[in-house]
Amino acid sequence: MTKPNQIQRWLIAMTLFILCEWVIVYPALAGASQTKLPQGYPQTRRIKIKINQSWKFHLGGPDEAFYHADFDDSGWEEVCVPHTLELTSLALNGYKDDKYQMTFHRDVGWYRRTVRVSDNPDKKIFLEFEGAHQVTDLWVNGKHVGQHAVGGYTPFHFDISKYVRFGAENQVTLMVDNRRRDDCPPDPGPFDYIKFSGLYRDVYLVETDPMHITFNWEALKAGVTITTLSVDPVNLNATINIKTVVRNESDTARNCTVVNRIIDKEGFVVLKLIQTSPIAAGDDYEFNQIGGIEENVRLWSIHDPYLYRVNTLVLEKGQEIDFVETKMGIRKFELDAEEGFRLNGKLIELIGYNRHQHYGYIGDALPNSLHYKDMLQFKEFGFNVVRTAHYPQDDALIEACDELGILVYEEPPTWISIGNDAWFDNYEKAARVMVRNHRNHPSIVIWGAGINHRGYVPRAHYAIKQEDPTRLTASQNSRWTGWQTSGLTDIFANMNYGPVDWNRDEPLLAMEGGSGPATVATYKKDPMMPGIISWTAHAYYTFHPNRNPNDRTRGGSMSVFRYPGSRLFWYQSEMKEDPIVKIVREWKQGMGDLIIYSNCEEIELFVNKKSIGTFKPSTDPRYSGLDHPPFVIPVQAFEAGELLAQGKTNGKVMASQTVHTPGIAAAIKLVMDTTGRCFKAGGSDILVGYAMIVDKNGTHITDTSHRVHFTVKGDAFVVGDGADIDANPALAKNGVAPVLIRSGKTAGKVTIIANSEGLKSGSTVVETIPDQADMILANALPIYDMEKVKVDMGATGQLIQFDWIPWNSEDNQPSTLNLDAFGGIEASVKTVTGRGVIRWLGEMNVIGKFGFVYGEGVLGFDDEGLALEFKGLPSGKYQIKTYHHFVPVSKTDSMDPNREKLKTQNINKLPYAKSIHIKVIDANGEGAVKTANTTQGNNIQNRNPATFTTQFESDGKKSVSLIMKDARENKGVWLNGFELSEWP
Amino acid sequence: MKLNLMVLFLFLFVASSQLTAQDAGLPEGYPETPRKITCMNAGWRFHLGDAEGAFYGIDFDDSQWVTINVPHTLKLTSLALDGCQDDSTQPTFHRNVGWYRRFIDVDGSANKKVFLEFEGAHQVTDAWVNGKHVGQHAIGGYTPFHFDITTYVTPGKANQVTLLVDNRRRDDIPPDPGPFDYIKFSGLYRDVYLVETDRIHITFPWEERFAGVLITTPSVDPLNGTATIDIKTVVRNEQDKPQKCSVLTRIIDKDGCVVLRMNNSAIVVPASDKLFSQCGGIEENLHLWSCDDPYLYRVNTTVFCEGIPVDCLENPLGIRKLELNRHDGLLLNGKPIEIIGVNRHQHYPYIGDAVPNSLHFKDILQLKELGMNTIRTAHYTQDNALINACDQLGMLVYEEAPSWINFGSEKWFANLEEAARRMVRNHRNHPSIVVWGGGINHRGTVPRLHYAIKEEDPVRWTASNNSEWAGFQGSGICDLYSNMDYAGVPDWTEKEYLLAMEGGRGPRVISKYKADPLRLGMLLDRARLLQFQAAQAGISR
Repeated sequence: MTKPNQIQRWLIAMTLFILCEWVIVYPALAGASQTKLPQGYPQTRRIKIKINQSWKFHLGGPDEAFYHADFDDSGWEEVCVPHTLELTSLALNGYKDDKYQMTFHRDVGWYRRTVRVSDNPDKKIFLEFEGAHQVTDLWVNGKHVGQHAVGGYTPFHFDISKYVRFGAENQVTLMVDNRRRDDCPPDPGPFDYIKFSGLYRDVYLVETDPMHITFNWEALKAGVTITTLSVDPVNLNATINIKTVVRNESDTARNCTVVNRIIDKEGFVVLKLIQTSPIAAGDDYEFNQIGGIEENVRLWSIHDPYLYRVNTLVLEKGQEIDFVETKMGIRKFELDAEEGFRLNGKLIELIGYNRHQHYGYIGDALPNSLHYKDMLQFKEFGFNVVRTAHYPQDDALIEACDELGILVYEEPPTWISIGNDAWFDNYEKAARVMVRNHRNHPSIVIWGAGINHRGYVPRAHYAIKQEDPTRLTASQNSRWTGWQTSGLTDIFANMNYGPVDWNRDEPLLAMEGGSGPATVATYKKDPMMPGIISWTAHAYYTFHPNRNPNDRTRGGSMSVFRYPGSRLFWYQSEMKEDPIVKIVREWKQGMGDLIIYSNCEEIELFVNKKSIGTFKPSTDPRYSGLDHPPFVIPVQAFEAGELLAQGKTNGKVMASQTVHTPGIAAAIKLVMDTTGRCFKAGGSDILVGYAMIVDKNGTHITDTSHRVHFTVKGDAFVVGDGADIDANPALAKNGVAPVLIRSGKTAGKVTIIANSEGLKSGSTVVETIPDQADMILANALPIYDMEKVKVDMGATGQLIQFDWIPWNSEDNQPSTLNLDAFGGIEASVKTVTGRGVIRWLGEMNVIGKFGFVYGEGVLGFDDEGLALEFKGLPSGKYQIKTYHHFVPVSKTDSMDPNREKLKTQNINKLPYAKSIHIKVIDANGEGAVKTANTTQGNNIQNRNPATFTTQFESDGKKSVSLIMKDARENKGVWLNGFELSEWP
Repeated sequence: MKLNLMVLFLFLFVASSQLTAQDAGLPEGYPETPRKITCMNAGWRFHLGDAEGAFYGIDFDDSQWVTINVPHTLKLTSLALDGCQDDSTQPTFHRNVGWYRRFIDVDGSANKKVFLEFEGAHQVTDAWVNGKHVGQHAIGGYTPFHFDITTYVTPGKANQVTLLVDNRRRDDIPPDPGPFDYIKFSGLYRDVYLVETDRIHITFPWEERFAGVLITTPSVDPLNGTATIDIKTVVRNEQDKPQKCSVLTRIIDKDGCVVLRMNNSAIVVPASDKLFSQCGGIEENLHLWSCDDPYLYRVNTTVFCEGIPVDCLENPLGIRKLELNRHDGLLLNGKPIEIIGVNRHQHYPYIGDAVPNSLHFKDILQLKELGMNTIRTAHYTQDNALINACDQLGMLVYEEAPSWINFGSEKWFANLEEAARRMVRNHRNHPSIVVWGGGINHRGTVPRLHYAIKEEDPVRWTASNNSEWAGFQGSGICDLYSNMDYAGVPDWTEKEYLLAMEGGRGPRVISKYKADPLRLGMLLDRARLLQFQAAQAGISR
């Protein structure tokens, strides 16, 4: 068996990690396709269908009139979105533009398809675009609907209700114009990256009722805005403000109810906010709701990126009219001027990379899976921050950051220069739309307000702050000119490639800079330097002058195909908890020092099974501040063969790696990167693979220049096949030839084969799964909206609080309480024999979260036990939580207004059961006996009172009882209150 | 320079001593608009009692009634509380009504809006104009309100106004029904104004979540001397046709120079409000507001229709940055500051709550002279003059809505929430205010109050003001944990900051707070207070 090499090990490790963690947690990613809405999910009049497929495409002809409804486009090529006007070679197709990009991809694309809309003529019909390069004109059934000319990086929509034929196919034509403009930033340039082209982000058909939630980017107040005004990582609660703008496009005023439900990961509603208002015809109305999660809020963090869902439902007379669902992560971030960046109260060093959205061959036209994969790879290397250099990026990227736990610095498109008034208006609009579109994402913590200008850009900062006062803005100065400070913005961010004019008055965030252990060390040891966002994660396409005309990609700790450079593995050792050993140089003659990245204390090396010594990490002062400097081991006498590195901590082997001296190129190992993702049929999705040149033992050979030719069996295509972009065959650079496989229309098995002359070919089989175009079905998860009632028991005068229903009664008699919950039920408390004794206690002070609940209650003595009975519960499942706490003496002092009354209490002197047997008698008969142990004390600030939780079932006829009895003898049973809720 | 100093001196003098004397003409550059605000404190005819008296008739003869001036208390009070033996639910003391009558002159221009504005009255107020009932305010005695009397008045004439100010005990108006450990005094005890505006006008700040003028400073950078200023202005169109309006907002420094202009236009449709949202900043020579240097800018908001100014208001703007960190505790403009101050009830001997603005100002001036830097407006919302004084003199404020330990009915809770919202809307533009109280001595936090306050004002801290005997000893849902510290706070976890919003006094106590950055500060118990708590014989109440 051949030993896996570095990249294979990395891919395998990721597979295991991801299969175990992510796919299970995120079923939507696994492509699980449901055909009907899950339990509790609203069925409204909103429809959202992805229309990425079946576009007819024509390149060029800006002055043509290809928009007529009856124009014959049958001779045009059929394409799928994301789409680039032209595929691109690493040599930028031989173009010689400068940074103004005068000619490259400066063309228009025509896109035509039909769209079927529903047959209800009252509906509003929209086309929604996540982004297109860069001016988009739309015609429906031959009529011009409108033009979007703000820029290529932000979303937009057109209302086509007046242009469509309902219940029929409608012809849609788009002209997507990427010609150079003076007024659309980053045009007219210069910019040091390529502005690619085409209809390169997802397109949707959206249908709604005339009364509907607006699109988030329409106005300062639009769509759904979620903010968390107080987040308390100590007491674990959060205050949540949700603003929802509903538009009434009917002819008459309508009464609108907005229900916002916050749903946890298991599907349970943890907060429900309801507000009703009439909306006049033609008006927008902002519903402003506030509430909170008051117990055990689960915070979002880079280590535990927990997401709640906010389901926003519009009702009218009880009918479900419209809805949207938004993910919500609750976190608190602070920039402490002395200590650094805090997330949920804990200091973290921001360590990550800039990320351009460029990809080899396809330019900006990445499918969502590759955006996700990029962030998954970030996470695997241990990065915790990404900057979306130099423009707003795909929704899929930001969603990935939310789900994976990566902080985001996002910025509107500009670069160094500033244009005319129209340019500035568009720049401001792009900034506002960026914020509106992404403001609900917990991952985003910083908005960039300018890129490398001569100082900060007040207009960008003001616009962003007006849109979102809750996040930090960063002035991103150039290091050559201008004031070197945060200026008006909240954070001073600068490029840190060398000396920076920084006087240490305020923290400095490097939003660009070098990478690797020595660079990161300078940040980690300095609390005034909260982080380094290195330049760049991946090589990106640019007309920046370079020496290699065959490869115009620049920078990058990974290739433009995401193949990682060895330096990145150091980040894993520094940032991740799992024990890691990575040998990063080939074991061969003349290799120089042996470099190993590991988070173990020491490394023992074995050459051909023989130990050659144990080594410690480098003590080079350049690395001071790091937890895990690299191991730099001089190779005294090289011996070809096998090298084993064992990482040890406290003498125990925690991780190890074996490598071999490379031999002669013999075969291709084809690794398709399927980890953490699925490969969707339909034609939009792309799977990336790496053909690795290996010797006969499977050891990777890096010094080859083979050309690898790829073929596919099954419904899929090699991207660039037949195009003149050197994609197939592809040159193996450093022994790796990349390949992009685009799915076909039908799902099924796909075999990819890699051949190269003189090498044994490699092949891999993957499977495509059907895509779900219905975005509501694709994303819907169950909602368990359970009614709940909370009852606080005690004598008259007991301390009571909001949300709890008081149950006060007299001693020594059965007591009943009528509750409105569950359609009206009756609760009663009595002794089972009817001969026992019941005492009610009030007015005891207890310190603790719900001290008012468990301060007082009922004490019941009976041979057969104390019964809590419910009559009239509708048929179904329920959960009950009961409180069993005893207060020996009240907490009080001279300031207490109840002090005098408390002196007369003596119920607390009666004997009580320390251990209680509890059983349920419900529709299923008598349940098993379980035990609860009574707690006691007048201060349980730092612990919880005894509670007992169980589920039961009602048949809708018989009453349900909870029987509580002293487990040992016949002392009194304490019951302070209960919470009763429906259960799924 | 000399002139500037003179202007500055005059401004300070006028503002601080609350003199209302105004020259015949407006000063240079000040917009002249249809808005008129006339103080109506003087010359009311007063009658004590007779709740059912129906004394509101236009022809009712009040010539035998006593003439009084506002601020007014139903009865003057001895230090012994007139010998009254009530308990802390105050069933009888000042539980009466007062009738107030006078004439007001209304502008002859027929097309104006006319309002009566009240800074506060104890505690239910009914108003009649020319014999017709205009409305009732029944939220509570500590927050402002107004009545639109446009359709009740005859322009250009003297119009009869009658008020019934009812302080009888209610179940649904906090802090009633009690108990509370202070006296709820009585009467038309805060200023009254006649406000006349154009039919296009800025709304009163307490009308809605978005109303009047809202000023926030989303970024303040003490180091680089810059600030971002967000201003939202709500304009109402009470004409019957749509009107294109522009809102000109000018930030004016203490010398009267405009340092920022923001101008936006929009069509305001009839019978609707339009929110104008503006964001800009001061990028050079920023002058921050602090306790030592309470520098105030003015925000002049002028509404134009077709180039003609139709409404104009001013708000104070003090630019400051508040932060918390574990080394230094509270930082004001980047510099550590220990909160050292007092609780302040609005009681005054003999006159109860009916304190003229000058005495509110004097209280803060006196505390400032004693070296205090913070007050808590125990246990309710206090006079605009007090908050203005804090702005002008550099005193931080912890303000709260009226409640005390117990809860009332749903209606009571709705009134408490409304009182909290009005408090925030009325005082949110004051730089001195740093903390809103989210409840007083309840058994833990009061989420409903916190949520209402946060919705109104997301930029300030709320404080859970727990009782020390019961409930959760933590900030809970509020931003800051505050508790009484009369003999230590033994249940404090020390995992979060502690603000002693009440407690002991003297160097030993203060030194404990100054030494610990987690202890943000101490507000001494009661500067002055009259109360019905079990008083020991011979001791004044």
